[in-house]
Amino acid sequence: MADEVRMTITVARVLRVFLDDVAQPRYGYELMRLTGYPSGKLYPVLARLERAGWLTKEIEDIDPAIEGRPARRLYRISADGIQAARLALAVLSEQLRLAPGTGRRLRPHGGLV
Amino acid sequence: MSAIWAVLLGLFGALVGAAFGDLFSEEVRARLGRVPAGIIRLAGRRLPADVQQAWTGEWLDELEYILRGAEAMPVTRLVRGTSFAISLFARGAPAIRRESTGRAPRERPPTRPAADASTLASFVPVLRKTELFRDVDEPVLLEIARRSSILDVSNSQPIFTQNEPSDAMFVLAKGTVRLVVHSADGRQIELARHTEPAVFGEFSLLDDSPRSASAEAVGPSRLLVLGRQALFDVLQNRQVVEALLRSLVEQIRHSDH
Repeated sequence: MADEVRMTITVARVLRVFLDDVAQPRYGYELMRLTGYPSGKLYPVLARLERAGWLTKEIEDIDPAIEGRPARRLYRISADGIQAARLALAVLSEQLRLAPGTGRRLRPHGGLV
Repeated sequence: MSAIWAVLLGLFGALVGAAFGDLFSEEVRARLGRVPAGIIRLAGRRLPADVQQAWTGEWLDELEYILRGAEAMPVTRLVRGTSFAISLFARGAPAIRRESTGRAPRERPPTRPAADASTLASFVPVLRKTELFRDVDEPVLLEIARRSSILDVSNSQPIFTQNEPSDAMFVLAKGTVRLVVHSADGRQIELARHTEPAVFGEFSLLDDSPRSASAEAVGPSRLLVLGRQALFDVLQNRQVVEALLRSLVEQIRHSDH
């Protein structure tokens, strides 16, 4: 069973890259440049999205001897991921749009639970 | 004659120097290039065994691309590669480890009923001291205690976990509990820390929403656990309803100022 994904700005920015071109596979260093996140911030997000089934990972189909470099791990957004990510981003966008009013929202007794 | 020898020796020395210089710089380059790879291997050791090999392999291959790529000058590539590795060591690997271990089911220890009357009675003053039940009469407090079960937890044991369905509210009778959330990159952020007497977890129960944070014990703690049905049963009592409404209003006022 896939884990739930807690949507944050960090996760949203990574998903945005995939949703910009859903057919385009991405590799780690490329995602670092596109999001501006350091490796230590990006890879845990990729791990979480992969575990949730929103991303799939495959090894690049090349001959390392010919290319002169190792095969990369390519991440693709899955069909379920596209649907879930679009919905989650829409919800997040709506929440951010309503953000100015949230200063008055109810806070649970002694915490957020 | 000596001048010719001096020139020849000078030329020989220059050639040897250039050759050694190249060898030296090549060796320095090779050794420096191993530094980020070594850091990545160290980062890999911080991961759980079942994912260690896969992640380390991926990161080393990505590092190879960074170090050997056509982009930028050698020193810039080395700096980027080292930064890539250090970030994984300091932040990435621990975050992935936390998530992996955090996914292992951590369940609340079993609760037990308060069997004897004296134990039940001992909870009445505790309930009375809480903000929520401070104005509720003793017979009602005794009824709340009677409908509750007792949960004894030791240090770090979970009381509930973020995102799980809400099934009960809690009265902290003894000890300390902390509320934490886990960020997307696996970091743990402490929201609040309760010491006895305190009530928490009632709001998710009332609106039937999943837990927005996790609660775990800080040291040995004892809690009263009031389940959903038990809470709704005691809500038949007007004093309890008033207490909850007052608590809600206080929270609204608190959030307004």
